[in-house]
Amino acid sequence: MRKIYLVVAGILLTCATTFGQNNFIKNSRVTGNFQFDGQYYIPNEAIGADTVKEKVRANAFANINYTYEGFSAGFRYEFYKYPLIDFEKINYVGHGIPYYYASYNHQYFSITLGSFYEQFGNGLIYRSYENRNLGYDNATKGVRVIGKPYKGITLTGIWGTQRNLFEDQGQIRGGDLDLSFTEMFDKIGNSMFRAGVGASFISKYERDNSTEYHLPENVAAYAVRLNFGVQDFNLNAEWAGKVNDPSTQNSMIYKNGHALLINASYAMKGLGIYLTALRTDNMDFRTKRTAVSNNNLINFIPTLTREHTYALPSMYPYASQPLGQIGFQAQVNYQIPKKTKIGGKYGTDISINYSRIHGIKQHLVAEAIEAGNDMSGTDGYTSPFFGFGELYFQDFNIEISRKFTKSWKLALSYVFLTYNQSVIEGHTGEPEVQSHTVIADLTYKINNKHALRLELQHMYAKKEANEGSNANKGSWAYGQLEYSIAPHWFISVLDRWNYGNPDPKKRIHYYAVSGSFVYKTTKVSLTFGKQYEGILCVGGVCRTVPASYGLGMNIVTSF
Amino acid sequence: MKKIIILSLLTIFIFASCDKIEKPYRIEEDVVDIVDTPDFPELDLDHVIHRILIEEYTGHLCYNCPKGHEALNNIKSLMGDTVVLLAIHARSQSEPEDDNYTDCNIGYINDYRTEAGNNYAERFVSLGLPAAVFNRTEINGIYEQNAPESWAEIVNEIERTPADLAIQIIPVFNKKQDTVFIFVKTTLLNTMNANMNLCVLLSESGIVSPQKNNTPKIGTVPDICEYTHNHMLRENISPILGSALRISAAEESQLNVYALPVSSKWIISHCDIVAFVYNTDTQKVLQAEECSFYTPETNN
Repeated sequence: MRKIYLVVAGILLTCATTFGQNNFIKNSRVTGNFQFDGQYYIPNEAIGADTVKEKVRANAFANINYTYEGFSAGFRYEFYKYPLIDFEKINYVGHGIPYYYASYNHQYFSITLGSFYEQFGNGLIYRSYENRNLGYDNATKGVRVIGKPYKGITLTGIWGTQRNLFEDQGQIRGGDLDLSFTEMFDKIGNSMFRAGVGASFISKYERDNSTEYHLPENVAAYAVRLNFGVQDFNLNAEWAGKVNDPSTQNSMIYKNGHALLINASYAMKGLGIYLTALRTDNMDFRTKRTAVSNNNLINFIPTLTREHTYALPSMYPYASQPLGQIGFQAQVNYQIPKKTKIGGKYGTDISINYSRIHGIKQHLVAEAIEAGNDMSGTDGYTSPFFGFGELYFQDFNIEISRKFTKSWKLALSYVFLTYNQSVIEGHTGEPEVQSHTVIADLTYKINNKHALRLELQHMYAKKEANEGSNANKGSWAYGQLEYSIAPHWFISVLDRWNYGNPDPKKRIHYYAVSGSFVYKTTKVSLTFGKQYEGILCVGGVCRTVPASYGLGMNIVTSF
Repeated sequence: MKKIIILSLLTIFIFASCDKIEKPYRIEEDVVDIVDTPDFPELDLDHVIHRILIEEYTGHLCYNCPKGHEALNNIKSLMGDTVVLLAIHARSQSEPEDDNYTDCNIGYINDYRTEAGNNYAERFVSLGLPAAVFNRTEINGIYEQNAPESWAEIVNEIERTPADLAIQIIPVFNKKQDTVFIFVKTTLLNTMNANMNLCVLLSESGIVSPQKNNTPKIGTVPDICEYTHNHMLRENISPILGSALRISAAEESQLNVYALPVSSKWIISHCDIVAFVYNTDTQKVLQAEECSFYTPETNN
């Protein structure tokens, strides 16, 4: 911690010594933001909300950034010493300055010392990023050098340790080369074509202190990628590999890992088509072999599924399975032109999306079979490239939205989900959930300042007779009414009712009343109600959300 | 020329940063070569006790935890060596705290959390502390039991079926290497067609340091400055999730050997070795065993 203060003091001292120069003051800029999320907890046995001894818990953080011409520096102070119970459950507990940096940007190069977020390609082998809602932050702390020796050529090198919760752990180093032919060659740049390639490499170091296995101390992962475009068509593909990396997650197998991600899109006025395919095989990559959950992740395997924003379908999100998954997603967005018989005066938007993800087929290697189907200490399994295993997730959804008049707008949606709970949530033996959800989202703009929005949702899910704590809870109904007075006020009431729960005692109303006030760049929100115990996912990375009841306060401001 | 140098450096960098391990991947045999395998006493197959493993998730900042410790001590004194206790310090209430948080002279400065304990807590505990997990079996749909006053009743209600397997532990101290080699022999008493792992852990008793407390009859409130922590998980000896057992027929046995370098972090004569076998599909603990770490050699 002392080191952190020294660095911050150093930055401030540097600023102070030059403070006398007028030019310096004129070109200096300090920016930042602050966020506070607090909650007063009321125990509620019916929903499983426990007693919180302190009654009040809160998360708070602030970013302060300073820039002067090409130089920038900053830090983030986080106070999660007595955090919201969501964060306590994932051990995101602590306080201090875990993120601080100083950086210099030049036309041909850039150097960052301290903490930074970076991603190589699609992140299949390396992505350091943060998501405050998830309580996820794996910032790399060390040094990053980016070179741009010629237009279209970018070389990135990183070396450092990784943030895990409030500690710095592991050692990672690597590099990335990105070549954009579109920028490098005017002939391509001026044509209908776009093209580029890239390659990246990452290696982690972890001591071998095992008495049972010969463990690799340096584990490498590598990736190559390609971008290609012709007019409205785009193709992006990346293939990644990883050498032997036995870990708790992969049951201590020595098999190499692989991942392939392909994105294709076609977009023109009124029509967009998106296709994505992904296959991963033993690509869980962490700085610590024993890490589980979202801890110590080096890479990011994206999910192919749509992230639903409506409350009921978002109860069953897909969590990416780096150890083995194969699937695809297709989406078509089409706008029926305005001022036509079907499209109406303002046009009608239709979006159809389908995604399907399976596990990969696995054939155990001979040694594993001889050991009674125990893969540890062996090469594990072989897997045919197009071998589809059990179904993990399926989502078909269609959304039609239309503005009828200047005042009225309606969006209708239908979502069909198949959710393999035992794989996605790791609850072995729990039944598959199949749900059908219909949603109506109606907005009435009273005038330029006042608007009302009504959201009605119904999810039909087959009842399962089981006693599991996270089992399928049957059907749900949801209603929400929002009233906004632009630009300052926003009020909402909602109720999520688990009327179809097989256990009559658990047919609970999860209601909430909330209000927000916005002034310039500051927003203050208050919410009172019940939080349903569930799972929250962002980009396929998930955490559980415990049940809670009480009054929440949120303050966000930036300057 | 410059490009060739850069490319060569990159190639060296890439290959130097990657270890390819060749078969065999396991090193158990190497350990056995260092010390002689001890002779295990013959098992009296009719008198193998089916022991219950109670994992207590606790923390020195947890005010209710002394109540939990007391409940388990009572269980232990009633049921003797038919139960195996393990106190696992995990989660935020086990974090070290600064000195001004207490009147105790030394404060809550010790960090008793372990990688294994954090891993287990992640898998079995989602509510508050104290929490006890009995044989890693779900009771009313949940692993953890949070009311210490109900623990004695829970233990009483656990059906004592005849043991399906036996675990024998012999630690052998190797002075030259300053290492204890732990030999664990697992013998099946019945045919078992299950995927099983053997977990071997180090626990320590008699650790004196502060503990939060809100039960006056147990000690001072809110801090017991010289609290004695017992059965505390100190380190995993086997891999955290255990070593796979590759036996299935009755009377078949498997020997696992582990090496544990002696550390100044714990007092070896206060330590126990806790071993248990669990079904990797259901998590259920099938048998547990405990053995004092003390040997005449380790005391020298």
